[in-house]
Amino acid sequence: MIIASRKPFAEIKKSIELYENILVVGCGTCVAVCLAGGKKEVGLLASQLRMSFALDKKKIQISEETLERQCDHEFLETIREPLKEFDCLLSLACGAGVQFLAETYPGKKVFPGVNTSFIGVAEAAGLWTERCRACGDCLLAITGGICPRTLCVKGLNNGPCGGMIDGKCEVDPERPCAWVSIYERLAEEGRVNQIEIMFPPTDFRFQTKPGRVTHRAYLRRYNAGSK
Amino acid sequence: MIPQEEFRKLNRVLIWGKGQTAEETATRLTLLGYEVLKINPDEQFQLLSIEGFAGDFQVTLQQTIPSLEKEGGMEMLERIWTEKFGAVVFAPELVSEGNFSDYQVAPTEKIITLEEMQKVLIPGLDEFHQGNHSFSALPTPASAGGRRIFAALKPASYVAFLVGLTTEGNVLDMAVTLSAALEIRKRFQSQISIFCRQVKVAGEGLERLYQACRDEGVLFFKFDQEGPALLRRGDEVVLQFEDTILKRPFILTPDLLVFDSRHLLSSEVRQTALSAGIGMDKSGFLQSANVHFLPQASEREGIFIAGPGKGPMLSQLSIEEARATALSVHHFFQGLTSETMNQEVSVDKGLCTLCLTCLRFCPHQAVGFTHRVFIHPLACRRCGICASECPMDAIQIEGYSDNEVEEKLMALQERGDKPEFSQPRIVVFGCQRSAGVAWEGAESSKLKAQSNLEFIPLPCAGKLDPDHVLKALSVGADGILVLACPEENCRSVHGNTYARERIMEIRKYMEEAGVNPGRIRFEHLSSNMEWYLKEIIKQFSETLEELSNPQSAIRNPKWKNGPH
Repeated sequence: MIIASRKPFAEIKKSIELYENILVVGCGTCVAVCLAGGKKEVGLLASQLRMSFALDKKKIQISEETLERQCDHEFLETIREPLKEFDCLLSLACGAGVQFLAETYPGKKVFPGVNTSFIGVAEAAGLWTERCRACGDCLLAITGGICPRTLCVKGLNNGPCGGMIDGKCEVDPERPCAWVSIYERLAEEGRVNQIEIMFPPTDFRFQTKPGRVTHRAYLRRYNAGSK
Repeated sequence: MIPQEEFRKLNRVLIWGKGQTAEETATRLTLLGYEVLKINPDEQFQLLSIEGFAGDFQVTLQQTIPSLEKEGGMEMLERIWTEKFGAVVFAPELVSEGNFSDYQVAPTEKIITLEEMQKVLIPGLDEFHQGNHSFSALPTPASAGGRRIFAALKPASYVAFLVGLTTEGNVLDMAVTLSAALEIRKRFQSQISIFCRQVKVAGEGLERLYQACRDEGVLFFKFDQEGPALLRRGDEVVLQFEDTILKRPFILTPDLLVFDSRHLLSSEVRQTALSAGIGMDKSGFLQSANVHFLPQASEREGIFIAGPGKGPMLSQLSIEEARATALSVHHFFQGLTSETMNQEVSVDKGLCTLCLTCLRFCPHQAVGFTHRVFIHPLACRRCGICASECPMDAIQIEGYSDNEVEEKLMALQERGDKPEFSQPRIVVFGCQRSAGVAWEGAESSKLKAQSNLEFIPLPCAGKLDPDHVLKALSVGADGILVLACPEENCRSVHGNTYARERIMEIRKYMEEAGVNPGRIRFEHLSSNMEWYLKEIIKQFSETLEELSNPQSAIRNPKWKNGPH
């Protein structure tokens, strides 16, 4: 899941203070799950802005709306009519949602309310950690289900490096070395010989921007290959 | 809300325990018509987890049996299976271990535990457990330990008991000590001293037993903190101390020293309690120290706790516990009807995004999920912690829903138009169990009639929603007062601490928006503290008046008739 966290309030306020009729748009999927941009966060941010502008004696109208997802046309369409009265949209979706909202409503000023952080997991209530860099060339089959490109600070394809001390990382002595974790996992599973497989340098052709994926069942419809 | 067809009520009870409490509970429940399975928590049986909800628990058990069939050593056969039960009763016994390390001595011929003494001296242990604290049978030196003790108990020997000096002490140890002391005194004319901090006599017949000991010439030495110093001189152990009353030093050389033991939950039981979400108190016994829990209740509906697992207790009391538990279980089953199912908590399936925050925060393990989250109507205690945590406002509690709270806040805004306003407008969010009662009580003092105060009851302080607080401030409240039950006194275990944590979060939101965080105040309050409630409101009003200069107060145009 995509993990995001709210931008500093001062930055948000500064970005929108020129406008008079603002809609805070939440997203009910990833950012709601990571408690950054769901209905509750929309309400909190809207109340904060109302208070702050009232103290500045500014007459700015703040309204609230939360969509199921901002990364789907169909959900974005549901606010086409009410959107006419707003001159500024403050989206609490991930970067993808913000852009799709802006793309769907040309002419509306769209601003982000969160910083999109990474693809990660919920380790516990209120704690998320990164697991995937979306490199487009997954090597988890060989590395015992542990991604060195994400979990190694240096993103090394082969390791551990010379900076490993007692199984910990030289960058952060609290953090286990990803390559040691990979070795231990493979050893536990009786396939430690896999550690000897040398990975060539990362093939960045898989990461050309912008990414594009076409499901093979739809190749003909979009008249193109996936890359 | 759980669909009606998923609601099940199984007439089976698992009793996880041994000893007389477990047996008596099992007997009583069987007589009441329940199918009872009683399992001893020991090396052979382990309870791995309790999933599901009241009326329909899935209990996973593990049995490990040593098999003798394999040559060259024992093979352990392991079986793990899941069974369904409507209710679970925890009724474990405590295990005792020598307390010698706390007293900084090593066991010798002359140093024994109270348990050893009890085993030798009280062959009619069952009779003792039935409340007969005198000994009908003659003590027998049958065992090796017995011979050792009897060797020391030659006529006119000197026996010292050290009880409850390293811990708080308990009634059970005191009962055994007093009985043993009296018996030895009568039969062997031994000199006996009992060293303790408190003589615990809160049990039937114990005061009488204590008096009998005094009459027979048993000496008691009271200590405030440190007990006597134990010195080793050859094979003798010497007790050295200054008596707190006589202010005189004593050096005594007993022929036999008897130490109390530590009573603990076995590690298996502790592990099971942790995995089942059942709390323990500060001494490490079962049941969280919570005044809102009935004697046999736990954090989870349908899971009961009975007997000595809650701390050492006299056998009489543990039998009473067993009977009360059986009745609680019966009462619980009778209450399980579709009519009593809680209909006040709802989850909007369209809004729920399955983030599982509610499930992670529920102190009663009342949240489950299928294709969307549901709140089990029997397991739920309506604290509303889930509702205030939900990032989509999908969970609503009747009487405390977002709409109802916002209506009240709007009403406050309307009232703000009246010109008679002269005091700061305060919105009070308070737990209905404590602050709600105090608020009602304060009615006589016209507190309720003050139009600058708006009380918004919460089912538990854990229902405090930062969104409501900010809304209250943005519609013109000058201050927010949040009232929670006293620490470690929340019926939903963590509600008051969650509220306090949220206050810190809310203060950050306020600061960011330029509102003085001093405009929110958090207090613990119990239901009988009306005077304190009045005092807090008075103080807080003064604070708010000081804060209310034109720069810091939120000026809502609708409230231009305000005082400032």
